[in-house]
Amino acid sequence: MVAATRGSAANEVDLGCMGLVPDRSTAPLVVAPEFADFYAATFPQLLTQLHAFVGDRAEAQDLVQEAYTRAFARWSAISRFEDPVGWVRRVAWNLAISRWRRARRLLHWRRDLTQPDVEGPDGLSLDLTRALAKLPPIYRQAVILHYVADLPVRDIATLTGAAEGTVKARLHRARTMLNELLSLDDRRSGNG
Amino acid sequence: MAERDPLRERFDAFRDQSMRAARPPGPESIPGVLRRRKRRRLTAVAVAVAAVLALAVLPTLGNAPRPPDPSISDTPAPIRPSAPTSAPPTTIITTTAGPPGAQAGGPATSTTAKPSKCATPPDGAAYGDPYVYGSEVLNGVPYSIRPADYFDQCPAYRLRFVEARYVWDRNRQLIVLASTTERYLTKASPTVPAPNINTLPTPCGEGYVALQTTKPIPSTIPNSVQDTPSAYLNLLQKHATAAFSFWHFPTSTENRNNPSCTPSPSTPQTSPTP
Repeated sequence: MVAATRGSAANEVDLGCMGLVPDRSTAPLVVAPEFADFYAATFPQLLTQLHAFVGDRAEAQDLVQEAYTRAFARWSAISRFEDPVGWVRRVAWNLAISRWRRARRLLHWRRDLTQPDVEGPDGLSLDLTRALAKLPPIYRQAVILHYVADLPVRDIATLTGAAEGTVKARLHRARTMLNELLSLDDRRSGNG
Repeated sequence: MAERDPLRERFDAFRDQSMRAARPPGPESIPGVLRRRKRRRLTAVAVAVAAVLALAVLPTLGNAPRPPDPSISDTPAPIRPSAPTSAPPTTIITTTAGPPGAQAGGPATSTTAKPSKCATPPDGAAYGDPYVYGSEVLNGVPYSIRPADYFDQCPAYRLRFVEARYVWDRNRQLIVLASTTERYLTKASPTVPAPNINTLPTPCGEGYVALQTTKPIPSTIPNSVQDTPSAYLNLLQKHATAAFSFWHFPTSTENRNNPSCTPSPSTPQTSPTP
């Protein structure tokens, strides 16, 4: 991949119309097409994962955008990685975990609010996200990485810093808890 | 047939819906975000550096040298006595001022003490390192202030000197003040000429002192001290600081043995300074 560069190469995106005046800083001033492609191809996946984790799309979007911002500043190196999206995913998840720790009480307060089971503004059912919100964060992270990111246990263990056996145990408990929560939810809504 | 994971269907549905609904804000704003962050970091660093510098500099400002404050009393410092380089007449005492109570003509001491503050030294106390050249005074060499940079440190300083001449009274019972001359040493004129002592009539006794003082100097020298070579200086230093002195007063016995020094009706040449 080609790193985001400074200057006025022909294949670079012209950001002059966006008020991005080149300066003498070391940070890239324009977005290289390769980064734009990478961004467009991987952003929705990460957004979905973080959305499932934090339960709020806007907050998840901020986290993912921040991860891509950090990737942009180091794109010349990250673009040479074997799995650039893995770097961004790890940053995004770290940001999410850190933010969750800082705002733990607030998040609990928000998720404990009794909300009617209605479809969200984007058409997504809230039952899964509400059930996920009731899982412990480490279980929630494991199950999201397994089902949403489709990561194998080994990669989940690498990303979370836990042993594979621990990840398997977390997945098992998370599945059990989710099934109970969702079946209970279904019974309440008369679906089951 | 393997059992289908019920959670898989829910997560797949969630993922499909979320992916469709995802509207990335786009990477175009990222460079601007980075630039703003860099600007904020630089500003924060500049503010931090300024704060550190301020904290480092401000405490030292309180210890910075202050301009001369004449209202502050100075700490007396020893002055430099000197001895004649050539043998003067035996009855001539050429001395310099010393600390109050010091014996004139005592062991020579030297100091480089400088006045720490610009203030009028207290009367009767030494005030740094005033000039005294010993026998050089006899040759009319001007006297001045030492150290030489005294007035550099205290440019507004005016040091009052009174040159006083003492003689016998008409009955030769008391040494009385005959005349005074007031002088000021300043940065512009840090020296004053010494009197030509060689022209002073001294057969029967005469004294000449330069005193730094702000008070009237004694009009008489009591009998109790007049015959002691340095007692007069101790007396005067209760009132002033003697920069130098020429003192030649034969004792009463010597005067009685000198026919030319019999009591005469002569009067002091000038009125004493109040």
